Amino acid sequence: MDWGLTLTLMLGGLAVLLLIGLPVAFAFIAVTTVGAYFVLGGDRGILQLARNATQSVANFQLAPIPLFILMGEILFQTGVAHRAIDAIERVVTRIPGRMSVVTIFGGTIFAALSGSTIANTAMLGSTLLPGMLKRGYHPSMAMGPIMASGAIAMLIPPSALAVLVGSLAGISIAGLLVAGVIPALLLALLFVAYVVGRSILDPSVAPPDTLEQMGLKERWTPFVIYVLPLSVLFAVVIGSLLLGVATPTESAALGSLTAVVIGAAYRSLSWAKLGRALMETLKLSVMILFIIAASQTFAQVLSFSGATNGLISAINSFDPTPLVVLLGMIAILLFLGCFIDQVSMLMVTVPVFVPLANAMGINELVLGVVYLLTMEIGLLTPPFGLLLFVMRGVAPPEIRMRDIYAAVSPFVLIKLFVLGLIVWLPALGTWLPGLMGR
Amino acid sequence: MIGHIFDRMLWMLAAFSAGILGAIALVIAINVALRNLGLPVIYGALDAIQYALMIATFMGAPWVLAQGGHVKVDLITSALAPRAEAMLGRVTNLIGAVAAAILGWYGVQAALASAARGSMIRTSFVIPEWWMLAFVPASLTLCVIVFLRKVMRPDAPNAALSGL
Repeated sequence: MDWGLTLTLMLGGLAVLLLIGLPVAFAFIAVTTVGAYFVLGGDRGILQLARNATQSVANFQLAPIPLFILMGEILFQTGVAHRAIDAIERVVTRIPGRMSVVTIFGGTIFAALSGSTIANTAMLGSTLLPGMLKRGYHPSMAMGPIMASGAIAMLIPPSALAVLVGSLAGISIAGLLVAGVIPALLLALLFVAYVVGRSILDPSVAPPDTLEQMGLKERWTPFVIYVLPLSVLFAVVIGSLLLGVATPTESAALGSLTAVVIGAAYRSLSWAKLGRALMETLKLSVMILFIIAASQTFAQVLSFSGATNGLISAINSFDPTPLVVLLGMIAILLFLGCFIDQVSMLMVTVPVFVPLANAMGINELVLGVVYLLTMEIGLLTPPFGLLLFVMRGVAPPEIRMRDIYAAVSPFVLIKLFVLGLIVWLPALGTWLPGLMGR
Repeated sequence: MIGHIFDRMLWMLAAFSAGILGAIALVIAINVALRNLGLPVIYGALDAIQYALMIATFMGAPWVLAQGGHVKVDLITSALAPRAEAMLGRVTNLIGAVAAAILGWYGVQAALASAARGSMIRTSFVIPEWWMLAFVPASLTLCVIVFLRKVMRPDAPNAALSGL
């Protein structure tokens, strides 16, 4: 079969099945089963698909995915996360748009403790949104920072999806986890600058609140008790990766156990909470791993049919520069991000983008960070930005979907700006991993 | 009654899988500690973890499907009238059941062929390969039942969001 036809049928079939609402993993199973039959040699092809399904997830490299999720879940289920947010709120004072800044600090700190953007956004939304709206914050100043900083969890380690990107694209997982740190901090800084700047220009969007009088001790004690100890977790996970003393899997496992110890030290841990954290972890991990099991053969079918090489040759025939190719990839990822989920974005594009990037000499870490940032933006772009719906779930009923779209748009622009910066200055992504384990 | 027993079974498989994930964290951490103390590490932990990850994925998947936890794109379905949404849901679940049944059937063939050949996995452990291959059809069979049940009784609209 002509590779163009195979590509069209497989991607087209996948698009139709996704759009009618078939769960992503099963859409991949359906399309790949048909593709394997026609491209990989009839019955033998489908037998190969069945065998691949076990091999693709029996992979030690994927172990950090559940472990990073578990770490965040333990912190959320034990309430450690919520208490830390309250503590951060006490110490951020005398800054325009104070509560929005608290949101960004809290969101960034928890991005460094949890690999789930949904959990991060839901936690920030449920803890901070009611207070901000009650204080008269404009919905855009209340919801925008929650969604934008909730999404940073995609970029800062522990990021389950960074592990997935690294594993699928053959990029150093430890390197990619560390590569996200500087872009993420830059994002947080720009969010704060935007929030403060807007509050100064138009104080009505974030009315100054009168903080209750507190002594220095009263203000800082909860921070010392509930936030500082979390730096142990940060040191265990990110420190061990940076120093090169632990593999991502080991750092994830140590992180999970440290989260349990921290929960126990606050006397907030119970068997029931641990059980809930494990079941939630299972739900998210299975969702990701089952898609991987279902879709690895998808890439093989594309490659075997000649579609991958054909497409790459077709692109090469235009003799594009690496920059043009990278910008083209970004445009496709951003477009896909408006409609499909992050794991599908990866599974559909990696089989083509990774060999293409290798052929063009595009730095693999830059490609990885571009993936993470575009997936992060995809969480926030209508109509299918997942975090927009998480926000809808925790916002009061009078907030319309349109308000949520409007609230997030300045932050999406900031993220696009940082994405542009990374293309322009790749060192933003490659410098820190270059220092690892020296 | 049967539905209740089936749900209970899915939950038990999921709880077992969740336990596996917890055990993975524990075993890796213990190994790191043992290695740093200069003691011998747990034999075969790496291989065991690989299989455990696969088993947890396949044994947890039917429960996640029953919970509506597998991520899906609701771009079109959420814009439909409830009756049309339920109708489309039936079609979608039927496609899911057929796809899972076909791959499940081939999964059985792959496991049987492997057993007939006497293929073994030789890593830290030596085990028959079909033991591992059997998890795919087992999981997909349960998924077929879950899908068929959803054909009869579609999900409530706006089920929980799933994703990362």
